[in-house]
Amino acid sequence: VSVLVAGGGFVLPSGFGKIRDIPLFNVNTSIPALPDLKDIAIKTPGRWGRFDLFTRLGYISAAMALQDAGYDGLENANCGMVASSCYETVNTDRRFYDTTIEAGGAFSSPNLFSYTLPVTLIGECCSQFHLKGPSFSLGDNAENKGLSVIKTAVRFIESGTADKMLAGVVEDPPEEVDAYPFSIFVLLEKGEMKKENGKGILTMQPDGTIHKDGKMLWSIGDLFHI
Amino acid sequence: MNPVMILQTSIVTAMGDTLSDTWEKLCNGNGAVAAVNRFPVNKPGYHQAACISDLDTADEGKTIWLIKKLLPQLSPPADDTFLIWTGIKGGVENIERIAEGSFPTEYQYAADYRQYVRGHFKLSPNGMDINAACAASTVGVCIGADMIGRGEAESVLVIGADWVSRFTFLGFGALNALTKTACRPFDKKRDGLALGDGAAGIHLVSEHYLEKTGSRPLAQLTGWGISNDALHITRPDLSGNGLISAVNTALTTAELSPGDIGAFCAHGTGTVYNDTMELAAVSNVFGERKFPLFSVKGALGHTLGAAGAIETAISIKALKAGKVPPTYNCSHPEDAARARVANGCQPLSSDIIMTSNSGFGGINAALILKDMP
Repeated sequence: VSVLVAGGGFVLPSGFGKIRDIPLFNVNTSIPALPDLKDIAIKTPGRWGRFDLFTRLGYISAAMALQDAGYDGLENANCGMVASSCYETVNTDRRFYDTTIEAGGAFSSPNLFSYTLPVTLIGECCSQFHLKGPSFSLGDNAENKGLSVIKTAVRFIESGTADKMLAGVVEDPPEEVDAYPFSIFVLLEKGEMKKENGKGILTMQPDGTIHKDGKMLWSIGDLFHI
Repeated sequence: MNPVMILQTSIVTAMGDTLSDTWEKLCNGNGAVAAVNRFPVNKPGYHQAACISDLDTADEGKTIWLIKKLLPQLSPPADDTFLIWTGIKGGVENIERIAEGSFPTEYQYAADYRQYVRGHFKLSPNGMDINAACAASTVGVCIGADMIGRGEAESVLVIGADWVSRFTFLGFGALNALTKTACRPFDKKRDGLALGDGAAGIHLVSEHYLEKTGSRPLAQLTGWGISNDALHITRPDLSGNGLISAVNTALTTAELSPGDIGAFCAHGTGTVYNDTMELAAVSNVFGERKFPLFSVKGALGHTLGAAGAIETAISIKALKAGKVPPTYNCSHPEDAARARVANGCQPLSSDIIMTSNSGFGGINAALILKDMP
């Protein structure tokens, strides 16, 4: 089974874009400038106003990956989603807990609590893009550089468990960590390479490494020109 | 696909420090849900959970305390064992400690707990952490099974632990998901879930591993499936379509039909929505067939990222005992649960049991276990 890189999207402090895009220059290099969804032709989900930064970052990249692959949604496709993160939703966790301090917890925010799991991003994307395949979140080590999700997605497609997988990394690090928020997603699918898209074929080697068109990947960013 | 075997299990719950303790009390019709003393609960209007009282004074951290109780029950696995950690909210202890003005623990993220377990068993592979909300350890077992089935690993250890924190208690309460009376899975009067402390370990191995170590398996994991409702972040699809998909994938993997399943260990949280969804899925897959269906959450509480692994261990114990435990507090079963759910033990109708869990994010996962006498 060939696993095709069908599309990708990213949001970095330096800009946002799809697989072939060079990120736009952004003067502020610590906080990503989130694009207006209308400007990038992405439908605004119903709960957008409640999304925390973690979910907004992941949602935009996932939507751009689908758009890059030429899909609006995947109603009848066996598509799953896997996202990884080192810091998960720690910032939203802290904001939720702040709402529990007063009045013995009587004013705890249900809206914030709903976003204190990284799988909330998965739930938002799966409901919006109609993804019904295997889906979950991975904790990750920074040294894996996003390759855990790529391996997991390739494994699902190769085994026939899914025909397509959205796979990516989202980070919204806490203030005490010297790192910046970002997200990066790819859509992988079973299929033969088409000359017109040319985004690469992934293979998992017996030693567990992932190769794109015969070259070993060192990070999920190797799938992009970033 | 290589056969996937379950070599050993271990659990710690509010009903006991071992699987045998918990099993015996479950079968005797006991429950561990009681008034919460761990933190003040006079304001919210809900006040129950299944807590381990010794955990209240665990200075080094509650998740680590649970892990330390759990790990000695497992024989050390081979050092090339791949570890999957599935606890989902242990790290909030530091948020709570800082808010209370006390010192944080040295464990903050899922990876920290995984590294602790890795260090304990001196495992070489880095492993991974899976967060699939309340289905996390079931998904972890599915991923481990996939790795062994494909020949990528000979041995996978799935470990999860979660506990009743003020954070999760108030959060589930804010969502109106906690019971104000008693947790009654599949009962017509059910009004919510009760949280619980718990930890579990499931050791999956290949046949080759068994041969190498001269070990005998407890059960074979013949089928597994994961799906998404694609509907809502917290509310399940009441049609049961997502769970039906996971169950059917597991049946297909196992090359079994619904009639082969001898009992079903349900997620059974005791919330109105979850149990309605599960009964819809069971009726769709199994039709009118009456066979044992049970939930342990009325007795043990909902242990989040440990729940699926605890229920897998209990399901294997049920295979060995030839019976399933009572569904605690279910005295007036829903119509679709009648002649399936009982408040006493029920005999198994075959040597195969299915277990499933569902969680926030619309995630569902199902496993099929076959006894290995």
